[in-house]
Amino acid sequence: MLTNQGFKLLITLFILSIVSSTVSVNQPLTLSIFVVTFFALVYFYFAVEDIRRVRANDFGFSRKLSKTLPKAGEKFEVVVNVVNLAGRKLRVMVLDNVGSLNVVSGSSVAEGYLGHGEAIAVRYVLLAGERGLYRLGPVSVRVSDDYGLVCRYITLEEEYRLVVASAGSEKPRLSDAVKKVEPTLFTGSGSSYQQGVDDVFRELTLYEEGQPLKSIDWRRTARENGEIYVRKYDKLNLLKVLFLVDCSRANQLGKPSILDSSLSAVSAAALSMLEKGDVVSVATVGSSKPELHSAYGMKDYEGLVKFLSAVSPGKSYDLFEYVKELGAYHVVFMVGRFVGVDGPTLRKVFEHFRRGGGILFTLIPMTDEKNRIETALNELEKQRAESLKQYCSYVYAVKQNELLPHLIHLHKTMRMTA
Amino acid sequence: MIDKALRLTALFPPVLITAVALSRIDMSNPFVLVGMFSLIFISATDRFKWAGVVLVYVPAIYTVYLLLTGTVSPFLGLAAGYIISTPYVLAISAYRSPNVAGLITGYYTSYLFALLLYGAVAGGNIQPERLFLTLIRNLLGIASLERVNMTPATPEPSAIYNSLTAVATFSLLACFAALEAAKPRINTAFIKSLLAVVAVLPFIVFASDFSPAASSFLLLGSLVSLLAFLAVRMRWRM
Repeated sequence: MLTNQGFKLLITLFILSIVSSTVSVNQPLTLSIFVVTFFALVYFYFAVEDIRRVRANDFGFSRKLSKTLPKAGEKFEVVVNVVNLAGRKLRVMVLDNVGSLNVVSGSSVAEGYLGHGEAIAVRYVLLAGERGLYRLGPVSVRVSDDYGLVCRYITLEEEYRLVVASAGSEKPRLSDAVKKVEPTLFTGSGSSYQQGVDDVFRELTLYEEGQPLKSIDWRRTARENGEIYVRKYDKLNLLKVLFLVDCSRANQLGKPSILDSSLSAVSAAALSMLEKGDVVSVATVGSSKPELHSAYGMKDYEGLVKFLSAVSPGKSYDLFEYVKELGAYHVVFMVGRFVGVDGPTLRKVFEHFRRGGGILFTLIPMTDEKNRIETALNELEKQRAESLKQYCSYVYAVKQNELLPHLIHLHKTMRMTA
Repeated sequence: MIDKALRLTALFPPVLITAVALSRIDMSNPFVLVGMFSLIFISATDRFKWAGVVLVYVPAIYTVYLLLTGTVSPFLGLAAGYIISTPYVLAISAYRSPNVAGLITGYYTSYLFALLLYGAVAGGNIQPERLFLTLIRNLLGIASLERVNMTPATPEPSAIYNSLTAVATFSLLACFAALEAAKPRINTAFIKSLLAVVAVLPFIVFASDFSPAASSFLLLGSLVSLLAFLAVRMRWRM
């Protein structure tokens, strides 16, 4: 195809050809214009034919992100490298599509003459304002002729899907677990996992590559001649934890929204639980695509974060109908406003999980009070939580930024009693 | 540097024709020179721009004042100066154009105005007032149906001007290679196109000598056919 400059030239020459052969005929000038126009047209043809021979596999391509799972509000660098493998010099412009992400610095476009084996890099820093699924790319290369008159666009990749996690998906701190919260039935003394009640010794085996060094039994190893032994433990008090997150539009209240705070807290709490060997499932009720996602170990955590990052509010729902399809769990955390859930429904949900041997905690997040409306709304939420307690004991109205400490604390107490 | 040399070569014919025409004009009215140089200063470089603006406004206001008091000659002289500087102004803009399209447009329009100016002077209109009115009439004649061809013949001796035009044409082609680069890049497509032009040129010259009246339409027809062929072929192959 013609570039802007090529197109301008073609139009100019065409107009001049018409003028010089109709209203203003001067033989030398007309011939001159004809020669230039003829030359340009033939040049366009040969240049296009030349560029047409360039293929997508004539370029090597790599994309590197400084963070594979960036968090909302976090800057990350993107470096796209394109190498010319065509065996000849090419004039190229590399264009990367950043979609709805914001370019903080650098440019997503780079241009240059590349000899065989030479590379050009597009380097820029991006920022995603909110969690979610973003599209990056595809990277396209504009190959043009030496004079910039004709060009061809070659797409080098499919769209890259980038998951931006919630800003709060971080490892919970120790202080989160010791934060004082409202006492529950499960607070108080219990087994101390610091003494090793979490893990019970199972067997002693030979060391295999990749096993953690901390599992080596140094005493036994010292007794053996060159053999390294490791101790294996069973986790006896594994919990099956379910987070039932209300993702309906009513949770878009506040800044950050209650939904974002809930998802951040769930994400961080899930990390803590998975590290302790629990199985964590997250059900997103009221989302655009209600789904149940389970993580069985740390290896599944990234998938869980991606799942949570892509959640978007959807339609209303019938909680009990949804819960009926779910299996048995040891602990169920209902996180969200659950505005459509009344006392009897909550009771039914509670009974459902209780029959499976589980316990249900309901955490209703309240917004940070920034104005009188939010103060009034929080007051109403507190009263609602109190009224729901008549049907199910463990209902808490908590500040949205205190969700994580509550979840961690409740989980800790549950593990102690498990 | 090479690019500038090529551009100067390409613009030499209109500059020369204008210079020949100017050498015959009666310059006794100083306002002709004032009008001419003020426009050239404005378009020449950024350094002269403010001086050029002063040179334009001050004489313009003064000549309008004289016109209103009944002295017409300075006003017409200044206007004639503006008009006769047009080929140079266009040549300067073509020289400074960042792309080939601008260069070719400037080349053509500068050449055309130079021919119009030369034609008017060759017709005996050497007084600035008469020259101004004749050029205006010629320019307005483009819109009238009575005149088919507005461009006069090439100045005599035509062989020199024709040769210069041929050299200018090849300089224009060479400007393609010097586009957007410090030194010219001559690629395969450029050489192939140049060879195609050289191959076609004898036929064109023969056709235009054989039938000057029909040649322009023949050329236009061939260009349209070539363009259509290329459009279809490129569409089919891409």
